[in-house]
Amino acid sequence: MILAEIDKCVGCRACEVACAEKHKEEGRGKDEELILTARRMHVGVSMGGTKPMPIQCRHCEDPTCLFACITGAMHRDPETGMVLVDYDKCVGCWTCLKMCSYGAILADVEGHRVLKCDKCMMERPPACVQACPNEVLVFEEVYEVNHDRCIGCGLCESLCLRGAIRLEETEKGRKAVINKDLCRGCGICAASCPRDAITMNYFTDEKAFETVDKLVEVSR
Amino acid sequence: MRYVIIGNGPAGVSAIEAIRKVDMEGEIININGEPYRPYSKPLLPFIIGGTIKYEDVFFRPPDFYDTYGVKPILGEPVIEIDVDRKLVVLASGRRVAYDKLLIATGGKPREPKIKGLDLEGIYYLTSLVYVEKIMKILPRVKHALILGGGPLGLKAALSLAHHSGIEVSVLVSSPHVMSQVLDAESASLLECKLVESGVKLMTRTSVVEFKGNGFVKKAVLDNGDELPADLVIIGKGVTPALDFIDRRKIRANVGIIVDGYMQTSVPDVYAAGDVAESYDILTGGSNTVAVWPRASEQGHYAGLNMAGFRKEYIGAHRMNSLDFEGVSCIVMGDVKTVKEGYKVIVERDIKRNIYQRIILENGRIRGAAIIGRTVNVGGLNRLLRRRIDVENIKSSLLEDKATFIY
Repeated sequence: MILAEIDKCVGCRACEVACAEKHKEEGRGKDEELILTARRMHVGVSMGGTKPMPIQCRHCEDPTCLFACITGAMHRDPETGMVLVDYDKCVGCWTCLKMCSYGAILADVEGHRVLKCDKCMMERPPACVQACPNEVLVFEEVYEVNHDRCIGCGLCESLCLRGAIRLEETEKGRKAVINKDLCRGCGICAASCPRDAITMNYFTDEKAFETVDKLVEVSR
Repeated sequence: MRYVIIGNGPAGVSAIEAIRKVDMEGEIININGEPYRPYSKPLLPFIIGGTIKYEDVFFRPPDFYDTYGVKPILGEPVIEIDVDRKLVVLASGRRVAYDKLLIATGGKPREPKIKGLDLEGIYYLTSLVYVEKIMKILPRVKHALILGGGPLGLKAALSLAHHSGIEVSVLVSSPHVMSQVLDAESASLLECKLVESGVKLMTRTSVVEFKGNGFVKKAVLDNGDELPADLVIIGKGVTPALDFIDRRKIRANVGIIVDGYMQTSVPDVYAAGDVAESYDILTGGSNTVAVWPRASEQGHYAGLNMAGFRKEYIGAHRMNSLDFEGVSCIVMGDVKTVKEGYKVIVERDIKRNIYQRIILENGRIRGAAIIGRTVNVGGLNRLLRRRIDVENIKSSLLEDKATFIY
């Protein structure tokens, strides 16, 4: 998952530049307009003029953009679980763009189709995360499996709603491995593991309350 | 468990996808009156304009039915639903039993009262059948006439204007185009674009009669003038297609009335999409707005609830979005009604083709027409839909800033 710690963001927009550079082939824009057009990330946003915040696609569970698409261009990639656009099919009707609550879908400069985050496909970490100087954007495994404790029982594999956990052969034998792209951090695996082998990296209570406090502060 | 889904538009398709999220084993039967696999009606004008290929009109891959384990019955309209015996009767006389039924038959074109409507060359733009007919006669069309200034009609007009040698006229009985959703000033921007593209626009004009000899030749207007026409496309909107239901059994008003779980007045019978009349978040009443996202969302919720996964639908509101030769036009909610106490925020930048109009009611967005801007419009839509008080942030509503955090 790409996570953002908004209190660290200074709005430098390095992520946008990196994103635009990474996707310039698809951006179709003229060079000087590249930054504004091919970006998949959108920074420098204010809420009551207080804080900048990077916006990125959440690859939602029930994506409204997918419901909105009249052509079938917006689809969930069965391999990676990401919500992607088939750029050849998009006709630029702007329905998805209007339906995305996060504003994570943008129009390309020629105005013929939409652009959205593809998490740089399989390149890790994604360009925006690599470029972020303040570690606002981080690409993290939300959950970590302790392979010394894991007995490879497969309970988590069967419980995972998104098919993000597979039993794989590792150096320590057959163990649970979490796919970073598919995991949405719901925590079912961690809660049900009989060996307590799965630990939360990011969404600890402390971290969650911190985020809530920040949001309250920002929206005041 | 046997699920029967009538209709394979966005509502039917997303219901199938939702059912399979919850139930991998139940039998799914998909009935549709037309012989095609799921195709996208809003894309029909794009075929006429040549912007997309015929095969791109299908919005799911060819193996969709196989992938989802669905048995399709295509080309057979439903003529009756026997809710007591839980049966669907098809035009061929065939009966299909169901455990859970979804009615997602969509809409049928609204027919204007004009003499001579049965002439060849006069079509609606609501079915691939008509498009196939239009494509056949297109090479010899000289004068195309579009009746109605709704999104579909206007897209059709622009598409036809792409063809050289076709003179395209749009006839609108209202004072301006998109009169159902747009105010006069927003509409004027689109009208300029239409005229720039070579489309002839006539407002406050309607046709009283079509004349021709088997094939349409001319239209007689209400002022007595005659216009030559060898292709007429009627885009006067749609009404729910529910002729086959028994209104004494299944409660219906304009559309089939559904609750928050998309269930009709009859248990195990659900309705979704253009045929359904559901909660309107703006008025608190109900609506039958025929738009794609509403249909597919409702289909999704219907599918989940049919499969036993209880999830309530938040409700819909009117919305439209389309691209006008490079100028985006996104409308949500109601921008036409201005009552006392409403606040109207307007921004114009005619050079950059930008016009924005937001209506606030008690600090909450009631409607927005955003022309020429695409950044963060989704945020606005969320604020509208969730009825969030925007009084404190209204200065940033018109800017490319996010207001999504709520």
